[in-house]
Amino acid sequence: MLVMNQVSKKFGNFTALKDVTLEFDNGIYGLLAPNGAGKTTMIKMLVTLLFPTNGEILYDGTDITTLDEEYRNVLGYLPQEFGYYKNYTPEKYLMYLAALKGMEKNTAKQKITELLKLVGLENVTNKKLKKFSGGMIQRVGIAQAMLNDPKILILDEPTSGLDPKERARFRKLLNVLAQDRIIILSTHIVSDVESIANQIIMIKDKKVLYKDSITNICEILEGKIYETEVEIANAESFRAKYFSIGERQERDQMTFRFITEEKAIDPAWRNVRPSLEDVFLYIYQDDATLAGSTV
Amino acid sequence: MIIKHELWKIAKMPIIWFLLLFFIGLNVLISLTNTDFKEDMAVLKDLVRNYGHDINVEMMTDLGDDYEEKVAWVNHIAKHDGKTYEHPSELLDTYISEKPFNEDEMQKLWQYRSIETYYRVSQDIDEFYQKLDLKDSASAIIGMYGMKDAAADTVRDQFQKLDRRLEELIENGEHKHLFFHNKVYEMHELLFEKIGRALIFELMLLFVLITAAVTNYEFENKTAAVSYTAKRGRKLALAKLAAASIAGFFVILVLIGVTFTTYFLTYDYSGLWNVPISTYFNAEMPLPYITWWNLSFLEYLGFFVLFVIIIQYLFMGITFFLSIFMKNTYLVFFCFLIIAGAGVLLPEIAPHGSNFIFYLQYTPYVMVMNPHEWLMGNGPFTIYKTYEAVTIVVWTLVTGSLCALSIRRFKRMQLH
Ligand SMILES: Nc1ncnc2c1ncn2[C@@H]1O[C@H](COP(=O)(O)OP(=O)(O)OP(=O)(O)O)[C@@H](O)[C@H]1O
Ligand SMILES: [Mg+2]
Repeated sequence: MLVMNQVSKKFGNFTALKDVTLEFDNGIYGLLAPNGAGKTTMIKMLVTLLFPTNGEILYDGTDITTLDEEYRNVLGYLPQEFGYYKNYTPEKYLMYLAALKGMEKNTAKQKITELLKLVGLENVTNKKLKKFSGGMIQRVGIAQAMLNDPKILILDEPTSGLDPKERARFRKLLNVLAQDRIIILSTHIVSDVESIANQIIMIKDKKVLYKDSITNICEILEGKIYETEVEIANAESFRAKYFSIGERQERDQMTFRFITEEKAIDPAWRNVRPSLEDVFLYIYQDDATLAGSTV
Repeated sequence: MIIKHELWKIAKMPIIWFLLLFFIGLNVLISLTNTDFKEDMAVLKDLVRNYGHDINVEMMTDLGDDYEEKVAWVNHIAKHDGKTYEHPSELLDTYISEKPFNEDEMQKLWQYRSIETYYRVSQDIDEFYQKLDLKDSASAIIGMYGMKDAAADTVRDQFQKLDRRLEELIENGEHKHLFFHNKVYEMHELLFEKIGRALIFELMLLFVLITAAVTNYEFENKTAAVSYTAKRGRKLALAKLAAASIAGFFVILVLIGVTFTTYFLTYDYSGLWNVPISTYFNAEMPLPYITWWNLSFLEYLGFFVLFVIIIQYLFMGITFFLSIFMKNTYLVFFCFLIIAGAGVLLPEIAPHGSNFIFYLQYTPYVMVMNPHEWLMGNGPFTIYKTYEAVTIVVWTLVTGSLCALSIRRFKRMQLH
């Protein structure tokens, strides 16, 4: 079990995370928060690149810095910006990383062939990485993280750059892997975690706001999400009055999906089931970090 | 295993191979600058084969008899002008423009003239050393560098010590050995100053480049996040240092190997390897070279190579230390050059009145400036007997500590 205990992280005077306490058991955890919320900072502490300013991170009861090699031996990590040696083939680069992970040469070779097939790169094993597309590089990154069959797999925005087909394949893959390990993946794309995460962790104002199942999190907005049609002429005033989270134009009418605390005043309003995306937008509606970004 | 991978990264840098080839070419060119003297120098080889290099009474008598015969021959071919010549050079000087002799005779005359030089200079050695007064040397240096007070005292003090060593040297007869007549050929300068300094600076460039590039490799390729979170973790830095050491040794082997092979194939030192380096014939300046210990040419060469290797690894250590904290090869290069520049320039601008000026010499940066004066009392500021030893020991300790510190700090460093 991986535990973050009262962990804070400061960069100089700037506090990136404050008093984060979390527990991770086997399963998939979706770290869902907007840009700049501190996802990467949290992950970098979990993979020993950064060290907490306060608090501790324990694996099976021992501090991970004390465990040192023993901890990193069960760790797989895909950084947000996955770097690579341009002139290496994926096979050669993975061989190098396997050596760093202390794997035996023959075991590594076998595992690499297997993994490259798993991420659909079996036909380009001898092509130099500099000729790879962004999505292909990302898949090399995913393969790399799984080389040592890690007990803790930490992926920082693993699906960025992947096409829908690869995303689907990736989600399936994680589902298989999640049986007997901790998987933590960060994203600000709701659909990435919606179908696969057992638990969602949301960070707001440098703190953990929620750590719960999707169903439980969605309950916050139960009975508060509606849809209704509005004349285009009235759209502007409707927007001003209600917090719209989705709009669709159909001929001279607009369909609004919106949040309100008011009980259905208008019979035309249809109460709908809240989705994770609704919650995300609701929670971060006044979040400064969200301003100007498209979600 | 990992070291092999890191070595590959170094081996795949074209710039290193390019520089290595370029430096080899450069050193070969420098090595060949004295080839004009080759025939002249061959005369010495014959002399040493026939009489040995030790200049003593017996040897001088034998050489003298031989020389008499040569002078007789000189007078024989010159008989038509009615004068008597005491030395080959006199005849050559007289007929410098007319050249009434045939090819064979001319060649022989030049050869004899070389023998004359060795013979006559050998005769004058005792007198030279009797007159040699190191107090004058001390005063000259003090005047030349405008030294005052404590600094001037130190120079006088050191020259006094050197004077004692000079007495011992004379007693040992270290000064009386045949060797290349370096007031003319300047072979010591060529080998240890021109080639030596070139070697040191070339190797320094390669060492800094190799060390910085391999240490910063993960940061410059943005692979640090992956590489340093693998099982081995930050210990990878150690493997990098090891790889740099191996690559550095290879570079030393190749560059020094090729350079010296060229040099010693060009200039024949056979019979001269065991000549004391402090012999009068090695002198190039008014003050002959005086080593603090009785060292043969071969031993001196050995110490030279040893010091070059040690100093390069000191440079490696300093570069490694800088790299761990800067993580950028250009920056490291720049900083290293600034430190080196400061190391060389500080002693230049320091006031020449206090002993502080001497302390500033104890850096590898100053030491590499005059490799032809290592272990000698000839450099006015580095005249100390233990200068080289102290510099190396102190800087090995400092650099070793810096490396240990940087490895330890790196283990707890935040890698953003
Ligand atoms: N090395 C650093 N020095 C100073 N501030 C930093 C550093 N790294 C991150 N921050 C700040 O900490 C905050 C959290 O950054 P972090 O990268 O963890 O966000 P994130 O949730 O991963 O965002 P994104 O979705 O864009 O990847 C940001 O305000 C960022 O500016
Ligand atoms: Mg991030």
